[in-house]
Amino acid sequence: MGKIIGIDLGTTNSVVAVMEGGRPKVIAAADTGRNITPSVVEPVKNLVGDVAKRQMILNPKNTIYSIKRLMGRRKGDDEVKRTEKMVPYTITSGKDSMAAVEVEGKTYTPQEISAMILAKLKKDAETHLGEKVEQAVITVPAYFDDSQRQATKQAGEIAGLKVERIINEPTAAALAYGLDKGKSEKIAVYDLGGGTFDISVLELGDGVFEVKATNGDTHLGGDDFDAVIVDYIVTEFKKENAVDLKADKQALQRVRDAAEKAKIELSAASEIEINQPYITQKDGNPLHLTMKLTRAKLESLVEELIEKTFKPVESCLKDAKLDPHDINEVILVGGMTRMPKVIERVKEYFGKEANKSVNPDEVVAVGAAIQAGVLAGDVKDILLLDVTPLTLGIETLGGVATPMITRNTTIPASKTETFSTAADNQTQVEIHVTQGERPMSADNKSLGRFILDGIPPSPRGVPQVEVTFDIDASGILKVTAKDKATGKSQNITITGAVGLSDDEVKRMQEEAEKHKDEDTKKSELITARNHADAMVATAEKALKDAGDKVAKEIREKVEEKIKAVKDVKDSDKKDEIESKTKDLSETLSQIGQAMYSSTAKATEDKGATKGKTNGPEPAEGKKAPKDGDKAEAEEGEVVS
Amino acid sequence: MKKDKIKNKEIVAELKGQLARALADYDNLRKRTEEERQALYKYSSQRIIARFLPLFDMFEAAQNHINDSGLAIAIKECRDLLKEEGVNEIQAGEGEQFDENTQDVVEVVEGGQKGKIKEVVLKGYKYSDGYIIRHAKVKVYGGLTEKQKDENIKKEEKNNG
Repeated sequence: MGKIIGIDLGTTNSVVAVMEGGRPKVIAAADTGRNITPSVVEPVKNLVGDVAKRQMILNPKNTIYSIKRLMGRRKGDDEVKRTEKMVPYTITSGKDSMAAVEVEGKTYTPQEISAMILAKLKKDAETHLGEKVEQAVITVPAYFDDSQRQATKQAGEIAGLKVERIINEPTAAALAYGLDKGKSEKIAVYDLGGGTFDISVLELGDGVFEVKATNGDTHLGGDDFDAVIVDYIVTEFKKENAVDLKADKQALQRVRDAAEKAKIELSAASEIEINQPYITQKDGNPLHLTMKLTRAKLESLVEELIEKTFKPVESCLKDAKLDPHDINEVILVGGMTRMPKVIERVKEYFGKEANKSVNPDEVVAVGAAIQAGVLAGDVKDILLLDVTPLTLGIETLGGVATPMITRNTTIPASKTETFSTAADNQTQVEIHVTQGERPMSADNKSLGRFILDGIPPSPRGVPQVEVTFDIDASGILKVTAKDKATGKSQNITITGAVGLSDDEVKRMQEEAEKHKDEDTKKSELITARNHADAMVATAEKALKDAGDKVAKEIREKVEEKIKAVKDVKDSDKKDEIESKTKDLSETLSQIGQAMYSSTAKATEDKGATKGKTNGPEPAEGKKAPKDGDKAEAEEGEVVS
Repeated sequence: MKKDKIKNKEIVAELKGQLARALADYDNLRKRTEEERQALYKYSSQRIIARFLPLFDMFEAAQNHINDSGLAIAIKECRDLLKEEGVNEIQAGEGEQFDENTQDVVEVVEGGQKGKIKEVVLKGYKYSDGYIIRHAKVKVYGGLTEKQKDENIKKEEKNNG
């Protein structure tokens, strides 16, 4: 069985989404790379979407938009009459006096036009998925009657899609927020799109949504907001320059583009500048449009439009016999709900923060895809993957918590890293498994510890101990340590590495955040000490290896520097430890050509920070990359 | 016992199906991520170029007005930069046929031959492989209106008569 796609077949724009790896994914149009496709069709040349929209004003009679307003309606319906006045194409009466459109003498039913949009979305989905798509879930407004739903289903079939289910747009939005999992709730869906406004109240009971009431304004949307801004800009420009930009079509087009851009930018910024040089001419001199627009000004301009949405909201609640505070969840749908003022007013009205984390242009399609996933069997408990709530790691040299599996990793997961010893002739290492976000092990939760012994005596940094963390799907963590030389291994199994209570996870995350600064300082100090340790060991080894080959004065100089490092290394003075270590490193490199190979080794060992000094048998990591060193050094500079 | 066996078989079959699906999903994701990564690399300059183009338009508009030799050099440098990034101007000229794939009609002007470009209002740009960064905005002839056609016929009749 192939994939089932979810389609939001909108009045102005349409969106298609699909479940992938248990998550909904919105599919971008193959031709434009955009996630939304304008619901615009030129049926003669079969142009759909952006390409049809670009030639719209050249072929107004051949280009069909807002076809959704005609779906499953009779020619004599009020909505059809209203649409007829609005659009330049010809609306005619088809079979059973149903509304249809006529293009170049040929009659197309709304189903056929919609099918062209659906066929394009189907093709985009097939391009994306690399497989045939034959089934879909399509959304319709809650107020659609049976005839309109039937028409939508037929449109799907014409497009070669078996419509597995028709679902309500507000229901899809609620699904996108996973609200079907909750207890019985009352949900309000506030949908302010490009050309229409819908408000619906749903009631959830036993996992089924019931539409309690629905209302709206079929001719109120983002386009009206843009028009208000355009009017304002044109009026201001006229005041200043005594030139009417509306008389210059080309200038007006630029104002329109600028107004839309301003509207979008003012959702994030509190003030923007509109700059359109050479917008028009007066007496042969060029005129520039330069204007500052504040969010406050914009809000005062569109206030009336926003208020206009609350009349239907009130009627809707009245029909549902509910008060605003009876609503448990509010969901925002449609691009216009990005405007901070809209969000604020909705919050004021219902007395609670609205759900708005899912992209409001895509939320309906996402919900449709989730419904499609349920039907296809993609969404089942067994496939819902869990994540690790906190970082799992081991304690290394200096008490540092070295992460192995970072938080938010999807499980099952596995990770292997190689560590080494911190002292010469160390024959055992202790593996201390910790959980938490703090950089020092002592501040995290200890999950367990074990010892791997029988490591053949060798210089520090030589033995290779492979540590593997493996969490299975149910959250059971198995930590294995293996000495590569002998093949000897030891392990521990920890249950409940994932199953922390939400409170516990939250507390640990908050603590990590709170102690961030001091933790950073502390771990930098440990890093500096570890570097110092490693440098001293390297220097001592270099002197020993070189023996008589080193001139006496150089040897003395190095010994003196070693002592200087040793004197400061256990203090809390990070800068001093670092500068003395650097001194030693530089002196060491002066030892000369004979010592070259040892010096190279020194640089390598400098990276050895991973390891542990818990108890008498410290282990030291050999794997810490040089890049890591550099990053740490830079962080240190930022702090100091 | 037998029932249990049948049930277990069903469970195994279902799980196998889900596993195959998950693996396929993963494999497809891997392929697509690679494709997307390559596209991202290829078109990484697109975002900044799309933002730079309106500035370039302003320079050109200013140049049309003041015709300054220094600004001419700056504009040429900009143009060279675009070329180096593989960005070309979309061909659209007066009298050419309108192409909805690369152009956007912003105004229809009465007269002329329907569908022919009257004027390029805003230049369009694309990558050399055809990927469009910005469509050209054009004014297009809408052809003669019925009234103009009538007048023409009358004129002809007059001439003939």
